[in-house]
Amino acid sequence: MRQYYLLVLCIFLVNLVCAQTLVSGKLLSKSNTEPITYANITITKPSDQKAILAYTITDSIGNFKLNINSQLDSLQINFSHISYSSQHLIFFNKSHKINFFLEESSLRLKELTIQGDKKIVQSGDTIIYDVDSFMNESDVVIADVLRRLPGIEIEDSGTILYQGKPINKYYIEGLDLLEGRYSLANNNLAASDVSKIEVLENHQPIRILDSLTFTDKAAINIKLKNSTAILGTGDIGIGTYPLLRDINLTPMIFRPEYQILTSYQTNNIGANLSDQLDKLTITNIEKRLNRINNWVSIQNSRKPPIAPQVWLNNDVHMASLNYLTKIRKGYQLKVDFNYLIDEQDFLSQNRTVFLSNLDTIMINEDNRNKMNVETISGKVTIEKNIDSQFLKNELDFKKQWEVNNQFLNNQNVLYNVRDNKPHQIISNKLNYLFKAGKKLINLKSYLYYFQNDQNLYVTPGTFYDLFNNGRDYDDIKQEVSHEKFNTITELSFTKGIGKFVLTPLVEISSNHQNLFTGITTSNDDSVDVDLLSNDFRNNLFYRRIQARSQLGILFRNESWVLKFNAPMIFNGINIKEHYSLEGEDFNRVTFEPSISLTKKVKRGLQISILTNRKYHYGNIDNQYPGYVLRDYRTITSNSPYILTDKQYNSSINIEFKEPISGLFSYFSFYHTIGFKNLILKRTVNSTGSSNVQVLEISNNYYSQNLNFRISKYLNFFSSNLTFNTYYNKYSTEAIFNDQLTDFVNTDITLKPTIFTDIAKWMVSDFSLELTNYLNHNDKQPVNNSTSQSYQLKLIAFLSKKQILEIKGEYFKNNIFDFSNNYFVNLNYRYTVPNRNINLQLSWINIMNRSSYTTISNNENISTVNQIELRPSQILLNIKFGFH
Amino acid sequence: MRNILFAILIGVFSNSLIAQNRFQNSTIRAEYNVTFQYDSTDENSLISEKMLLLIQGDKSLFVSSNLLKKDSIKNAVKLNFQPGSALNMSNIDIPSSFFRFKIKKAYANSKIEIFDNINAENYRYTVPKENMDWKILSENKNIKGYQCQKARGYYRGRVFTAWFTQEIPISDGPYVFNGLPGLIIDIVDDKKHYHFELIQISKVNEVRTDYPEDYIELSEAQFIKIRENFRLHPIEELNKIASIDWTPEDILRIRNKYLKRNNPIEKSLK
Repeated sequence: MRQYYLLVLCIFLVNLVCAQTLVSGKLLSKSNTEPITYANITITKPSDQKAILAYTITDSIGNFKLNINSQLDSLQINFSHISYSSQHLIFFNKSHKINFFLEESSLRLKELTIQGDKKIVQSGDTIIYDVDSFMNESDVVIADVLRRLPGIEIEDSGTILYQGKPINKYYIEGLDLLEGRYSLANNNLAASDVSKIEVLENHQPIRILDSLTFTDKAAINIKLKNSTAILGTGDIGIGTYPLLRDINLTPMIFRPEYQILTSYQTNNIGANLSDQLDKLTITNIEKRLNRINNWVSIQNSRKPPIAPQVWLNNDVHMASLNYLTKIRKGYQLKVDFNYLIDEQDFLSQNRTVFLSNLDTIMINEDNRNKMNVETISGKVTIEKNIDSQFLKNELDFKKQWEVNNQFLNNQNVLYNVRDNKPHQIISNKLNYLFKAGKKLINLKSYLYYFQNDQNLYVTPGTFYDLFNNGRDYDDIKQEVSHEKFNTITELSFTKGIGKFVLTPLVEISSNHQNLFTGITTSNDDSVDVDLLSNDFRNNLFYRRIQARSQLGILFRNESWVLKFNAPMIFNGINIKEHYSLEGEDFNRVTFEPSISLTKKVKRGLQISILTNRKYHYGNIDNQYPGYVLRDYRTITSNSPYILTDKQYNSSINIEFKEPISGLFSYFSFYHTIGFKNLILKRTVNSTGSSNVQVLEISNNYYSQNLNFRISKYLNFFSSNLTFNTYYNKYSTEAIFNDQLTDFVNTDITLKPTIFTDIAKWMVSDFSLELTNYLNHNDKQPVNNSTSQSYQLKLIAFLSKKQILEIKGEYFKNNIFDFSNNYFVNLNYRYTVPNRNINLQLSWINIMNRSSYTTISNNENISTVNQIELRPSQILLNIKFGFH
Repeated sequence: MRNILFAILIGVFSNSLIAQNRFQNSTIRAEYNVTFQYDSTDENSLISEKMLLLIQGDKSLFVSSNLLKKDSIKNAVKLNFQPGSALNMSNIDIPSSFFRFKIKKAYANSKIEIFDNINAENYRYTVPKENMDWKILSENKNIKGYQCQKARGYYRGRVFTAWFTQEIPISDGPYVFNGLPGLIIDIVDDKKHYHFELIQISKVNEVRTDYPEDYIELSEAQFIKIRENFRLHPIEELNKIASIDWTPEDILRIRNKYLKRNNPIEKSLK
């Protein structure tokens, strides 16, 4: 088979004393006498290439050298290289120096023949398992079968791994109803209801991206036998006084053509379900559109930074329904519907201090508030997901009724403050991805309609001077009706040219708003009086058109990255006040450049700097000229001039790390300076009643924020030590009680944290936080307060199935002396082996503390909130699945 | 949570500087399937991964097939996607790989270079090219159409049985294995904890790959120490680069995941 061709240039015979034979030489190409590098050379018995006696490869200049220990008379030398034809030569067992030439030829690689039998059917990227043939008698749910399929693992958390990697989708009949919560179905769908399990390898859920990106993640598709599978999960918790309940029942229906997930949740343990509802209906991107203007409010307590289970007295019920179906090939329809009814109680004491260098005003308020909220919301989603395009349209609606009823004691005057805030929202969001040539173009469009009525009732009436010539009166009522319609359309794509990346973007947004407000007062001896002066009412039209065209440029090099963003923004604002017939037309084009540079100085050290300019213009919130009673002791009005705020920001970030010694550090500094055309004028009387107006006086503000973080791993203690420092300074000008004042707030926080592996079964996390607040008015110190907080968390893994967690916290400040401000919570979890049942026992507020204090400082207002806590309580939860 | 971790574990994209390398013109692409038992106490803890040995002229690279895909996604992302633009990272599934090393053999060098990544940090160390004292045995068999010959050798605490073929006269193989008069088609240790099998071989015209340019140079012993430290204290190590409020379940899951990986291919340093 092998070509036998040989050409020996020269052979030198060398006499050697020992029995060892030394063969050396050089291998060269026959065509151009270039050396042949890294070729294989073996010495074998003549005509038996498998009996290798010695072997080597040629070096980088084609030389080779071989020592042979053999008694044979003659030997065979074999030369082979992938780019040359193989040759061999038989020689006497004597030392030789051989220069050898090979002829070029390329090696043909053989297709590998696949051996063995394939038990599982594979078509393309899909592997199909027949469930009946994989099922054991002991298998109850589909997870039991899945666990045994080759390449599949199920983690304790329920995550399914295929070839060690988490799957990216869990479909049932090609529909993804549960999304990330697929373990609900996996652990509860009866194995007998399933006909086939399909493993889709290399699955890209957004099909238009399929040709652009790779993925090695797999998806699982469960095919049902033609039957209806009903299953679900439950979580039932009961606890001590006053009879606690925490119930979550989630039944589901799966059929080949549609799927339904329903859920009913209720609790009075302080778990806030309305947060969950918000997550379902509002996404982050639309936050800037969906901001709900709070025109009026009751005197609110700050929410303490601890789990709501400790302080929130609630009684909530929530029901939701999700329906998913395929309507045509490539199209899916999803309908969600939610209903929530919530009742919350708070009891708190607040101390508010208006810091001033003349006379400091301090007010104490005790309040009890009852809030009732009822919400209906829904969402219809249509998704088209095919190779050439991706389209997702979401239509949302929400209607909410919120009523607050508050009893409040301020300097021995008892107030009843009520508000009533029904609102409704309809919004539509479209995201469309399509290809134009090779480029992928993205079109986004949002439509948003909001209608809101907000009414505030205060008894007895406040602000006597304004409303009743300085005399007491019974009631005041503020009515607000607000309507807005917003749209945003955005088109963008990205293009790379060499080391540059360009991102052009065009965005057009419009914003139409109408605001009606009016104040009514009443007294025993008279009927309701609508205040008809334009000082106390608004009928405001606001329109803003914004067009933004932007070119983002990115330049990248080995050691630095430069980003430059240069948007040109047109703002057209039109304001018309229908009562006073005042108004303004305002058109401005602004250039808001932003530039950032990141440089790798040396190994482990990276510095980045950023600077930008931004403009903000007044929204309807700060453009209404007539007074609005915002809460029982705050009344505000604005100027008809459009607020203009020009801001310059700059920042520097330095990152330093030394991984071998385990040292990481980070430093950042932000600086902002801003110029405004309007100034805030606040007049506060001794009861804390604030009258807030704006005046046309240009003023400026600045802020500085510094953060330094260093962390080091201490091998000896098996601990990670982190030290964090924050420094914030904010300076602004405002008119306070007729005096133009320069307010400066400073706070410094030191926060060391130690995380320790105490033992294989136990870890601890300890942190200490020290904060100092300083307020200056016109450079004179008016407030200096400190707070300390200590937190310790211990987690013990008693066994694979049992986790015990203890959290303790101690809090102290120099304003109020609380010697007993410490909290302990305990949590124990147990997973019943081989049953789909989890038990959780929690004991919250073990020390039975009655209140929690938080301190906040802004501008010249320092607030101390003390919120009443729930009593110490024990709760036992059982989580289970049913089918 | 999972996403945050994922981002950390794969190494943060923007931070790593890379040098692009191309394998061109008749590169040999040998695809191996490696099946390994990551937990020495659990026979069922088997994972397999596709690995590539790319050979061109005087050099070769051994890398996970997914890691190579990840490189090309990174490059595509750098060129095409911007934060906040239509396509961002959250839309893309990044291929993950158990083995994150890249093994570079330059045949003229007496050392093999190994690049690896632990906790978002790149490291580089070397091992000698002549790392095994092979004993070629006369036993031979046909594997998938190639005439193969048996050889045995010792590496880092394990005895390996290799099958190589003279029909492909390249003195190379998967992982750090090399030095036989022909390509290694199949290699397995005596405990069957690590098994590399050739599943496909072909010539390709171009393969792009990146070697990290920003790495820490250390010895093999130092590297193994760092790897072991991460395995035993993953939470502390992850805490160093980001503040994460761990739930007990996360701690348990992550700890167990790494504790189970107690069976590296290098059992000892000798």
